[in-house]
Amino acid sequence: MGLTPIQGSTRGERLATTPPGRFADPLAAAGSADALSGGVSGPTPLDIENVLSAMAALLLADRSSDERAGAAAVQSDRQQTQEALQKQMQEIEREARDTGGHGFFSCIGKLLKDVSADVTQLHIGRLPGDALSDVEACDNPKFWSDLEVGAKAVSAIAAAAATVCTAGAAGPLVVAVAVALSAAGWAVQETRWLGSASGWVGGGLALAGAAVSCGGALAASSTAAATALAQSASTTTNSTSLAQTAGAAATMTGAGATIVSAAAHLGVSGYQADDLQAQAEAQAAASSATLFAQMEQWAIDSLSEQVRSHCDAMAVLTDTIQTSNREALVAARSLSRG
Amino acid sequence: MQVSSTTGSSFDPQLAIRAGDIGEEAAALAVQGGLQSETTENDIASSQEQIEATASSAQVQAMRAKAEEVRTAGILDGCVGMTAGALQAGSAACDVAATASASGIAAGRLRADGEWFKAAATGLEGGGKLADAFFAGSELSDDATAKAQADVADRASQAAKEAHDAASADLGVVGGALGAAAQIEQANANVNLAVAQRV
Repeated sequence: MGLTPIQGSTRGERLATTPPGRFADPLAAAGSADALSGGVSGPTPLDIENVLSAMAALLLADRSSDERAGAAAVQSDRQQTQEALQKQMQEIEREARDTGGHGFFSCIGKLLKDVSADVTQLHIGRLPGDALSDVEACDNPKFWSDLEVGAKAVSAIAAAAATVCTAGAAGPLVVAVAVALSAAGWAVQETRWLGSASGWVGGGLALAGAAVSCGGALAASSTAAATALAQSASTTTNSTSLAQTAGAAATMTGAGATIVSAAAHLGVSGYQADDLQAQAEAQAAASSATLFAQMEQWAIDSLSEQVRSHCDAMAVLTDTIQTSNREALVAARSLSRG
Repeated sequence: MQVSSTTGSSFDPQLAIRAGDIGEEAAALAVQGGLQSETTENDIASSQEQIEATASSAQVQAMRAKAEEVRTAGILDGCVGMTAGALQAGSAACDVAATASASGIAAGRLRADGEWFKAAATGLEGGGKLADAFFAGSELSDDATAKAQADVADRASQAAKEAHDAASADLGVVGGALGAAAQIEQANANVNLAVAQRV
């Protein structure tokens, strides 16, 4: 091999002083195509030196580029993780709003207290504002839930009272059976006594109760004309009339309570749905945060691996350059001896 | 063999295998195997990540579906309840009117109408309960879907993590093999240097 002494400083020093980007094109840095391909006469030490320097420069450029890309990926993942966590927090707060609040009596008590305080202290100007804010505060899931439970209880009691008072219309037996079926359906459904089948069994019993009621109604209709004829000349007794009026009042009360209960149920289910929606969104945000955090960690791992790999490559390249230097030195000595 | 200036990043396993040096061949095979294994593990990690993302999305979808069903069931229940209440009130009004009616025929008809109202209200409530049962079943199904998808997502996450760790370990193997190859190259270069010094 036609080795020639290396002129100038060592490759290590050149590497340190080589401006970045100087050897952007390894072919240009190598000096000639022969240096890379080996040529007919083989590479000279200067060619090898250029190739090694070009490799070192490329490694540095590659490392810098990889580190920038890796850092950008880590930064992006971190930002997305933060955003997802922020969204999760917002949804958790929303969830808390959709499940909290003051109960029925607390809300009504506060409203009455504020109104009475404003009236007794003659702060009439503040009365509308206080009342409005108290009413707005009543719009919470706990309030509607309490109202629903209370209205249901009132409705059930009123239904029982109405049954006792108006049993005569469709016949006591028919009414009793219908009420028993409906009550059993209600009890099964409310207590979930039969597990997942409770809903269907409860619904079936309620429908059976309705069917019996329909039978009673049919009976009442068919006998209405006959009884009307029979009663046309007479008047009902006072006690019957009173019982029927009380029964009607109880039914009316129960009907009102049912309507209130249904309206409250609308509010409660709305809040429940909002709560579940918030849970779903929080879960989605948590999943995203976990995924982005995982990606961030992996990007950091990858970046560390790249840095380590580059360092290893640079160490190997440095060793190679040193070996090449020693070879050139030996060649120079042998030439000078010769 | 000829001393080359192979570096960690420019080491070509194929060239090394053809070169005939046993040490370099072993290192080259280790590098090849490690790189292939790392690629495979990375592919596994990516696919498991995809599965995790899909399962998480399905879980959230099931939760959203349940929320919508609860809302729909609530609206239906509310409407049914209010209608049933109105029918009950109608029934009570019929009873009151019947009691107040002077005519026996009219009273009988009013009572019959009241009974019909009552029956309709009860029937409506029963239908509402059946609808409730349907929605409750659907909600249970959504819960089960959400839980199953959450389990899938957890398993996929674990598998992705394991694949990532395996890929890192493979990279370590590749690094070690590259280091070994570099040492072999260095040793060969030293031998050549010693020969040159003797000459």
